[in-house]
Amino acid sequence: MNLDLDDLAEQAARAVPPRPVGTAGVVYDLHRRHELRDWITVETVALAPVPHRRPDGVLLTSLLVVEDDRSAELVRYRPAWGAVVWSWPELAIRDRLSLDQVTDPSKVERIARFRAPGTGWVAPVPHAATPVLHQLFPALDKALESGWPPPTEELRRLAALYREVLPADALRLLRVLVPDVADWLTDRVLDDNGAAGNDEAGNG
Amino acid sequence: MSDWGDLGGLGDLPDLGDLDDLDLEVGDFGVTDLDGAVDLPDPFAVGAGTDTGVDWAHYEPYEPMWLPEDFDGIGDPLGLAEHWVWQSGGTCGVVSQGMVIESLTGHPVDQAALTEIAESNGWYDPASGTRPTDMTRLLEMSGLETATSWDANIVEIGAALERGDHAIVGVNSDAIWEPLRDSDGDPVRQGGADHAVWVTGVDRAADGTYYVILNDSGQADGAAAPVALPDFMNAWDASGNFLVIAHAPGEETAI
Repeated sequence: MNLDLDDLAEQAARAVPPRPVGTAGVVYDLHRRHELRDWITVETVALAPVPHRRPDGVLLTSLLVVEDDRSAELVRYRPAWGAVVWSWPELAIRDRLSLDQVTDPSKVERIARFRAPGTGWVAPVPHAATPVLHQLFPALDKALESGWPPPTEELRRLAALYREVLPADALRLLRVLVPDVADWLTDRVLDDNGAAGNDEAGNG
Repeated sequence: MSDWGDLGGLGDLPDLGDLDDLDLEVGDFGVTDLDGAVDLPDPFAVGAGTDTGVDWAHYEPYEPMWLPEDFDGIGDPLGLAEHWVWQSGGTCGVVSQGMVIESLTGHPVDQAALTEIAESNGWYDPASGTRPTDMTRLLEMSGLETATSWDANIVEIGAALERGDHAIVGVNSDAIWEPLRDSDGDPVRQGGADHAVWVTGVDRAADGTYYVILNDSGQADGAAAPVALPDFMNAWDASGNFLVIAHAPGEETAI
């Protein structure tokens, strides 16, 4: 055995890359948050958070999922089991919820509809999604820092990026949980007037 | 902050078949509908770039260069490889405990039965997985002593391996399965923690590079799987450096 633990520690200390900031930190540092450590399972992934304005400020909501299977290009998640809500720009945790605990009658049925296992929870593998996320997070930060919501053209661009990395049923479930995003976080491209077109699933 | 209560379960999920059978490709996720609104880069295409300043041309996969036959480090990655199993679905929290139980008790472990035990006791949920606070339940049920910590460091793992204890850590899986390096050779973050693995050794290769050796139930070739130290630290950091140490009672050393 020829290992020097002091040297190992020194090498390890140099190895940790800078911690992500802004919206990227919401996803990448989910498990580092002390408030969530006893609640978030070790397998849980936070999907890209979506902003929405509330009377007391802007919030970010992420769905929580667990990977079930993957191929070289695609990952299949189990349907979302929960969600976490952060405040912007503090990135303080404002809420956390298990979707099984939602009791609002107007939402229960629609939530259940988008929590069926299947192709609706398939997305690109993280390795392939990383380039998109590295576009999405800075664009989100910029839009948030400029005052949410941004102009329609920017919302359209953000929605396109979300569609690249979020499973289809995650988009639909987010529109149920956060109705404010339903007019821009669509399955389809907005038309020139900013309307989503015929997107019945988007109405939950 | 309001807590909406304990996690619930969706029950057993139906078998959906193999992902490769699905009639889906990455391009089906909307980029073709954008009318050129977004120009998505190929991360490894020469000259590819983004408007975020990230130069993807310099993000390259990293291949470990570690030879098992040259192992001269701490732990017993080659001997412990026999206890490696490939997990089913998102059961890494259960399976990593099962591998350690088999190793430390000497009794064969049926991973499917162990998963049922964990689920029936509320220590594993098919919808959400295993909470960190439940990552010692099966170990302790099997008579093992455990210690759990956050913000741990590599020396704690090394010291545990030197004592003959076993270590389970939380990691970001892509950072160890498909490590990327930037133009400076530094690891690239690819996501948050989503996986648990058993650390069976630490070694230093002939070129001076440290490797952390894993029994990784999430990979088909995950027995004695080497991960270069920077990639391991990158992956482990995502979990808040979560560490579970397991120890067989009656041995000379204690946690």
